[in-house]
Amino acid sequence: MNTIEYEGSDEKIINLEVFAYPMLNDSGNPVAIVEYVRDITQRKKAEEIIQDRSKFQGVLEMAGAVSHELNQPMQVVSIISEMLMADFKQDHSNYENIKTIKEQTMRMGTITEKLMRVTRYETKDYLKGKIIDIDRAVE
Amino acid sequence: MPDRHILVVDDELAILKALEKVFSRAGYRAYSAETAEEALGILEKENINVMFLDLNLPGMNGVELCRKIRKDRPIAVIHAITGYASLFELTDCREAGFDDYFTKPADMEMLLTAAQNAFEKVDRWKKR
Repeated sequence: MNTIEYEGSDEKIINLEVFAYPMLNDSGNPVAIVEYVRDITQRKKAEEIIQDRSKFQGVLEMAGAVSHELNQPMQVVSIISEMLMADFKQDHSNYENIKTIKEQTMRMGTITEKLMRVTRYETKDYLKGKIIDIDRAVE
Repeated sequence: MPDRHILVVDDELAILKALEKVFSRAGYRAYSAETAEEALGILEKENINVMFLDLNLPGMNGVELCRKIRKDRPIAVIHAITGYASLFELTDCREAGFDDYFTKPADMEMLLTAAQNAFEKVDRWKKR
């Protein structure tokens, strides 16, 4: 049994399952070949939908786990940097560094918030592969 | 500040210590617990009406804890702080009796404002 893609005259691709087996005579020699072809295009589409949904469910679960786990240490860093900013005068040599830590932590918080709001499977190219596009994948 | 007591519940020790520091520096007396059971133990002894609870706790979770607290303390102002936000979770929180809901990383200023507003509310309610 083999599966092949076939482009029809209307340029639409259909998926076919091809079965072939020999018909043998009384001496065991092949005298004919029986071949039948089945259009499995709809079944293949349904399988792809199931696979996409499965992938997407995996993406949602991973996004939730990553967001939850990253938000914990970010909470600590955010609070401590804010307390340091309150303790240091603005003209202190390290004030801007601490402010950068706070700002970047909040930026990370924005990213995890987007991860938590992913509602569809959208990807973008990244080097030789693909990654989830968290800007397009949110509602 | 007299009777300005806050309860903080989180199973992550680093977060607990950071929140304790935030509220202590602002003049509040901060009580902390790593589990819901520990929190209930504290509430049996102390009169605390402002709370910040993590939702994902070992054993009894934060939503269940809020339900239990709400039964005995109808005027308590209870805030949820969670590392994961979903609409479903927010609805559950409101139904359980949470007054507000913050997603980590929550801004220190936002938490302090929430605490201040909470005490103003409780004082106002107690005067009725």
